[in-house]
Amino acid sequence: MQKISPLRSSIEAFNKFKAMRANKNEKAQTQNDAAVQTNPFGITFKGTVIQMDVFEKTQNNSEKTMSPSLKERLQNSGKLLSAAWVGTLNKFSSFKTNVIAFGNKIKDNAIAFGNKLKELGNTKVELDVFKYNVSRLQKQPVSELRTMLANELQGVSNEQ
Amino acid sequence: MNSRKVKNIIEALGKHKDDESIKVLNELGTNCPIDEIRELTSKALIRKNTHEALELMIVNKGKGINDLSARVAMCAINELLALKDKQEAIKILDDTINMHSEKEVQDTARSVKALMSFSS
Repeated sequence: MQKISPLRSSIEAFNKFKAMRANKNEKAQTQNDAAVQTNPFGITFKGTVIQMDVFEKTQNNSEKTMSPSLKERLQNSGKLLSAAWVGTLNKFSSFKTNVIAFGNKIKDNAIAFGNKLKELGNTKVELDVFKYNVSRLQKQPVSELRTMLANELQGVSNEQ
Repeated sequence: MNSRKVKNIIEALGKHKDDESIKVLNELGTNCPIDEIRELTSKALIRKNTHEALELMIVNKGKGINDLSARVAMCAINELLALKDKQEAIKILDDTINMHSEKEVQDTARSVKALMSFSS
């Protein structure tokens, strides 16, 4: 009877484990390849293959992989077109909201500007540097000065 | 308060040759509740240095040197002291001291007269 050393036995066990692991990896690889080949646009996400026709019946899927007819191709292109159309609609809706917001902003600004213009219209731009000059006032009749003083005093008392 | 316009109008009325200006100043200026306006009016009327204007500022209770506001009264007194020709003012002060019914007004006039005699 042959005597087996513990080192040799462990090497053999390791070799067996290595071979098994290699086989397992090969099998998994072939499965993945097959899955990707059925759908060339398939995307792997954390090891899971996401396929475009994931919600379709397996029968149809197999038929498609076997021989994609003109009708199915048209259907697929229709799907893509509709997806693109939905995307465009989303873009348009966001564009529409932006345009509406911009329009509202412009409107608010215009209203504020209008209010400012009204305020400016109500404000008197008086060049009273010359009007209220003492030497000029002195030449005016007393009745006029009386009216002016009364108005000014009225304004002053209203301010206070 | 936008005092520049009011100040200029009061000053113009003070320099105005028409006697109606004294009436306007008395009516609107000396009866104004704002101290600053009464102060400006007192100055304008005293600077006129006419009998009518000085009488308003010396004889009337609550106006000019008899104003309830010490600031206005002191301003009027200062203006009287600053007059070059004090003859008319002293004459009115003498009349007030001798003939006015209110003792308070008489006392004020007496004090102002004493100040004027010292300053001249």
